Amino acid sequence: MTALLAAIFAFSLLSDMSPSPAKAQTPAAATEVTRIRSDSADYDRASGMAVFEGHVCVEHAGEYTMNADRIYAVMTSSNEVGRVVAVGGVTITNAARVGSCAMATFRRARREIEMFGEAGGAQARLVDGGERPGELEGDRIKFWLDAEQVEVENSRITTSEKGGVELL
Amino acid sequence: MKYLAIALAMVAGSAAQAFDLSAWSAQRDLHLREAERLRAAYSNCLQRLDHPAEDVSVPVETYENGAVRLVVQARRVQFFLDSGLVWAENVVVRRLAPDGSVETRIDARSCVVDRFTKSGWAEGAARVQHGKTSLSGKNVYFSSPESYVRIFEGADLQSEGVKVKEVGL
Repeated sequence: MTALLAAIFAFSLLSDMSPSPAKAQTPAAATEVTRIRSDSADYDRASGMAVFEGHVCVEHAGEYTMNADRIYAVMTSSNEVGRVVAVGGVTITNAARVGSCAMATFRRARREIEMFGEAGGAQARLVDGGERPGELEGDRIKFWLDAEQVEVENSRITTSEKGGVELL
Repeated sequence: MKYLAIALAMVAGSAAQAFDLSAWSAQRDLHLREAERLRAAYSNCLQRLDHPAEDVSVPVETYENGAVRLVVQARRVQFFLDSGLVWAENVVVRRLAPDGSVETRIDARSCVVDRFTKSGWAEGAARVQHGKTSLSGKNVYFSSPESYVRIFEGADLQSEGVKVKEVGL
């Protein structure tokens, strides 16, 4: 949206011809496709916050899908996503794992997803339908996109004969 | 709300970047009111249109060698000198690389810009293409001084590449 801001304000420049805030950006090298859809969206560059609201759906390279009522994406000082916070009716699908919770956070650098249950209400829930099927609920569940391990607080775990989830 | 505020405050592990959700929400309310004003101004401009200029193309910015860097084209444009508003229809903004290739292209069906506040409203569909990234939606408010954009309907961001830096967000 930096580009959007830079270019769309060209109209205001028609009158004063002041310098454009546009700046060069490096071309994308990766080929993974990320798509975020929502009813509405805000981007506040000054505070580094992007907010997607209403039927938010994040799809990343067929790797994971996240749905929520609202998603906050917080940018670092270098304008990269540092953290994503999803709120309300959150569901996360990562291969054979499906999670649901009241709130979830995603730390991009660590490729780490943390799920939180409702305070005094429903716990976060993670169902693994993979080779070691299992199901767990907890106040807080943490897992990594690239790893098999899961951390959980105040857990209730159901596993199959194959072994199920691994509790640390 | 409490947990959300805590989660947002834990930004990138840096206290210096702690985020104040309440302050941000209050600021957003101000933007929403400004968006309402500009949306009304857009409707007002439509009613006052009187022989707008047609097929306008304005090079807004150039490189040191004189090559065009930013060019704005519109099917129809009208300046309202009394209010400082500029109305335009079928707008295409191109930001060009030094070799003349298009870096960024913005299409907007129609919009109005307030030259005093440097904020504006794009009515209907708008789309930005930057490299392999596109952002589209309907009914967009933007503020240059505040570096703020809101898409009111059907926000859709697609990007090849993981970094939002490359998305241009």
